[in-house]
Amino acid sequence: MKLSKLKIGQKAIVRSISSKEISSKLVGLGIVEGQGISYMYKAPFGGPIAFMVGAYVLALRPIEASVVEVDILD
Amino acid sequence: MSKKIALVGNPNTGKTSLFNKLTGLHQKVGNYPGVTVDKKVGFFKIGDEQYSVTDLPGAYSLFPNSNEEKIVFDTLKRTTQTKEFDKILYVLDANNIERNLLFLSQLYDLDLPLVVAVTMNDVVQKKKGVIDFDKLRSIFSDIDFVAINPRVGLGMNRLKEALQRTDYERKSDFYSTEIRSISLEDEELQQTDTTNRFKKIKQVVAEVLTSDTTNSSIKLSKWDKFLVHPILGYVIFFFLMLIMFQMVYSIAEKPMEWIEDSFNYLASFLNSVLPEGILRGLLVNGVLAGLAGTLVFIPQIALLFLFIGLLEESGYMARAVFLLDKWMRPFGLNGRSAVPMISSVACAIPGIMATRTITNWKERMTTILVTPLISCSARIPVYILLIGLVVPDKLIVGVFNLQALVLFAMYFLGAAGALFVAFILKFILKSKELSVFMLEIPELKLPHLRNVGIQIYIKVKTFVYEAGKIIVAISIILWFFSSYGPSTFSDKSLSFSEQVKNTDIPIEESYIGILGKKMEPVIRPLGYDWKIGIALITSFAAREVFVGTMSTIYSVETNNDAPGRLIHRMQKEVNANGEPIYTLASGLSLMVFYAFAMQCMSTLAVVKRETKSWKWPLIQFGFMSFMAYFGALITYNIFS
Repeated sequence: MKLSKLKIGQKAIVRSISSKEISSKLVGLGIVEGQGISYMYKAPFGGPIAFMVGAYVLALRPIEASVVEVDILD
Repeated sequence: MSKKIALVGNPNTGKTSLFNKLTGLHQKVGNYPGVTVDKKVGFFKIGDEQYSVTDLPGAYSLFPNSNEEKIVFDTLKRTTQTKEFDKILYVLDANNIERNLLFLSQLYDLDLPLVVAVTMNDVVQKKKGVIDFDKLRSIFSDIDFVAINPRVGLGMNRLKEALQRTDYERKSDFYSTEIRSISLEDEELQQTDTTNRFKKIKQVVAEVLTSDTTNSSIKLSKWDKFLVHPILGYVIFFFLMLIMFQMVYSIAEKPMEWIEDSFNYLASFLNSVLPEGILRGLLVNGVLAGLAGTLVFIPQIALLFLFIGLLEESGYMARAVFLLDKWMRPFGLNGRSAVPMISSVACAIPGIMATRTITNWKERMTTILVTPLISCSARIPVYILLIGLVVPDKLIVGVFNLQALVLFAMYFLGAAGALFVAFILKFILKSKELSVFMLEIPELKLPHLRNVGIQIYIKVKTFVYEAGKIIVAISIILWFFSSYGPSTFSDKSLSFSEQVKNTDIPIEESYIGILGKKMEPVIRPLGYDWKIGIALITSFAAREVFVGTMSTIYSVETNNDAPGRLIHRMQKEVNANGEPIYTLASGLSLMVFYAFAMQCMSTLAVVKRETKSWKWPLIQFGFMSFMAYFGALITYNIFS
């Protein structure tokens, strides 16, 4: 599923990035295959979403998060 | 020969703290050729040896995400050939070891002469984590890893020793030296390289980091529960902005007065000791006026950067950017544009200087271009004078004071104008750069006051030296054209040097006065006469000069705070047909003109400094004049 579809508190593992345009940017920030990622909080009205990527917090716009395919962990 | 060091690392690692700790105030700001990014270079000594250290922009990876990071790529790639740096000092945040090892491993495989400064190891220990640095060193051919804490100065001596070492021998690659030939354009290769590096890094981290709480702390800190709360977060933000204005208005006012008073004192002193003539005029009304017009901004710049510095240093700014991004997007702006624009209600100059943190070129340009449209404090004297002159002091709907409503409307107009232009620029400015957000939200920490202080010092210094030159030059030009006119040079019986001695001609006979008269047909549709025309030209120095020029033209002694007598005199002013000049229509039209027009040489100078070219300030001057003229024209026709 898409990273942007995660719900608050859910954890997931990155599977792939579907957009060529921004994938190299995301990869440099540690969004790579196998990386654990969890949804922390979001800004209202479709604003950015904050994720815990490994040990740090990264905020992405929903459109940026929607290109990341993840597998949910329970 | 001094040794050269490049300081490299991820953002939010304490890189700037280390730079400040090493160099103190021995810093200078220069240019990278062809880009609008500042180059920070500092100097320090180890024993007798002189070192220069270049603080490269923060980057997460060798492969760039922005123009700023491209400089890092270019510089480091070039260094592998030219060896222009003796050492690359990499700052590694131990608390984010996985992400920080990516860039380090890239630099290592480029075979650059590395020294690693490890920050935040105390945070790791506090979280009951242990990093085996001996093992880590062995993976990187025993390069130095020095644990430091630049806040308290811990580890600085050992870091300096490491910087002097030359007995270094490369034993193995980290991942692959293929990185040396990956080009900037080949994103696919970059991605494969990065992904594989992270795989290797994960193994390494598993070996060197012992931690019982990996990835478990996804709960919000107790502060963040409020700071990023969907409602309270905004309340806190606007409360902080309110404090910022309060600070700038109430605290900056006094020192600004002192600066103005001392320049007035100096001017009257020079006037009393120097003989009348060109030298005195040039010094007092050209150079001194320009210096005063520069230095008077120091209190506002210092205070705003104190505030902005505290917000940045504590990590709060990233949270504000996070909350505001969505609201700025429709106007082609970014969450980072909000604070510069809001601070422009005090003064556009520090606002424009604060756009440095916007990495996207288009979003930064848009912010710089529209920021002076926000009504700043220099417009207040003009608004107050004109409102007192043409708007009746009465209540409407029983509660609202009409004068106050008009003042509010002027502020609204400025903000609306800024957002409108930003919206238009969204379609005009061309950029190949994608608008990306991707913002790291650092952990909250107590701001390091020394860093804030040094930033204030550097900002004030660059403003005074770089914008100051331009402001003094414009001031001298304005002085010349307002002190001399054709009549100065008409008496042929006098020699040239005698002609220029007489600077005491009435302002309407000066070149500016004549230009004001000549342009009367152009400004008559706005409801203005030539006297207003003169004031429009002289207030190019600064908007509040309007009040002074009006006082000069009408020969009324006045000051900005109590324009009562000037208002009285202006009310009596009539045109050739005996109708009053200052009506509701012409007064409002003039206010709209001042709301939109770029009447501030200091702002233009700062835009030139920040964009590194005259193109942008000229474009800005052009569209703002256009808006001012047609805005005033429409207003005049609505109300007359």
